[in-house]
Amino acid sequence: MSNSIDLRKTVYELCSADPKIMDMMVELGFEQLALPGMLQSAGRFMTIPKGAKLKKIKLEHIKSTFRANGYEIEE
Amino acid sequence: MSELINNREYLVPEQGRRQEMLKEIMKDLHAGKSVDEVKARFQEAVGDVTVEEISAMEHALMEEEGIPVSEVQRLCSVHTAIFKGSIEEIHRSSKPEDQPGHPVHTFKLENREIERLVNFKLQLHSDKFRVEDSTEMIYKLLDDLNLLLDIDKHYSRKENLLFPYLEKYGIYGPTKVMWGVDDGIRAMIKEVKGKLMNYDGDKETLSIDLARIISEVNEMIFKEENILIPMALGKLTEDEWVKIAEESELIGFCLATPESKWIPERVPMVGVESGEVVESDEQGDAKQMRQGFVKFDTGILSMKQLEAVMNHLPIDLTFIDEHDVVRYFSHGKERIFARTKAVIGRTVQNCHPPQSVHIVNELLADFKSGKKDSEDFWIAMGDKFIYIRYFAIRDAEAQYMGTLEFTQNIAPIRALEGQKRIMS
Repeated sequence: MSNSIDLRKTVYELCSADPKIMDMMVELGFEQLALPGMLQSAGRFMTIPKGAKLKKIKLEHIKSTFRANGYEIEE
Repeated sequence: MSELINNREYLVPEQGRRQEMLKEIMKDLHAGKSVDEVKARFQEAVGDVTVEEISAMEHALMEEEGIPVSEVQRLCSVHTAIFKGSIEEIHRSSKPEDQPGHPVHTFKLENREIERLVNFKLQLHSDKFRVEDSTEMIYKLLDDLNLLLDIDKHYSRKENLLFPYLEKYGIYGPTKVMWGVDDGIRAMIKEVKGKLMNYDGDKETLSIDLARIISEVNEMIFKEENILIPMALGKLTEDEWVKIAEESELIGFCLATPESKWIPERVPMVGVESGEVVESDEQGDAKQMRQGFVKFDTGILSMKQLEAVMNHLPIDLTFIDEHDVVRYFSHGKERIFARTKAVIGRTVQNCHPPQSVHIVNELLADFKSGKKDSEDFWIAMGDKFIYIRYFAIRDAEAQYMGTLEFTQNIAPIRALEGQKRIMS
């Protein structure tokens, strides 16, 4: 399985392809993603960089967390 | 749908480059070059520019370049002079949501004003306040906050007009969260206002509070324009936007009002007999037709009789013509699916939620190609059992003329048992 995360993709696309991404994002501080319906609606318009800007979480921190969990980042 | 919207993502690098160029030009202005000199270069370098880009750039000037707010504000009038033409250009768009009066257009218009208020006035006054907490500064801040309280109208329209439609389409989470944040912002503005009115000398806390208001308001704008609005545009039908626009005035607007009423483009009505185009506002013609008679192969009915007959049928009918334009619906006492007159003259695609349009199109394609002549659906809805039938309407030469939707509550029919031979 290729563990890669395309930052241009929406959170919905990423999380439905790999549910583990969702868990990690919630842990990173995107708790609202876990709310019912959030992923299916807002998630379709949200990308990780946009979310990072909104939640004021450093994109670098997100990237390194994913890398530490064995993901490759595509930009 | 989401693929379409994601295209915007790929524009980001382009925007970044553009913003760099804009910033350079601004810095030249700041250094004392003339407006005309810069104007020419601006037009050459950047064909068009969005209001968003300008505010982002102005923000960047303050944050990154360390240009004081007061300077940026002084430059503000110059920006406007330079950008004016091009901003107007960009507004000339064919998309409904970009037309003045469309609820989305109004929301964005207000957001630009809100941005101006918080990022310039409020920011400037709170910066000055931090230096010197004079009574004059407090009054200015109170003034700004009073204006900002108008944001309640912007939020109320979003919550009371837009959210119900999103909820109708099953979107609950984001609306609830956003409503909570809106409430937080409203409460925060009121609280800070109260603190200013009874100022106790705690400059530090107040400055932090003001900074929070500014950042929260900005974040809400970002959320609205990047998530909420694209989401709503993907779900709501044109009809629903019309309704929102109509009801918007009841709540009112925040810092800006729509320049004009939004009238979606409609297909003009075609006269039954002559085939000539009759504008729907030519009421005289319509009236005359109403008084006339309709001659069928098997009889003659007055318009009044025909209308009454159609509305007494225990079924709901909707007819769309060969161009998919809704031409007629019956309006009996117990219509199963609500229809409003606003749909007449609009394509059927515009009257369905975008996510189900492909089903409609598929069916119509099969009717037009002759692959199918009819299609039936049946659904249980409360105590009703609804039988929905679609028929391809064809003329004597089998040429497709349109589609008839035939909806009926067949629960009472399905419940029939035995037989009834005499009046009881």
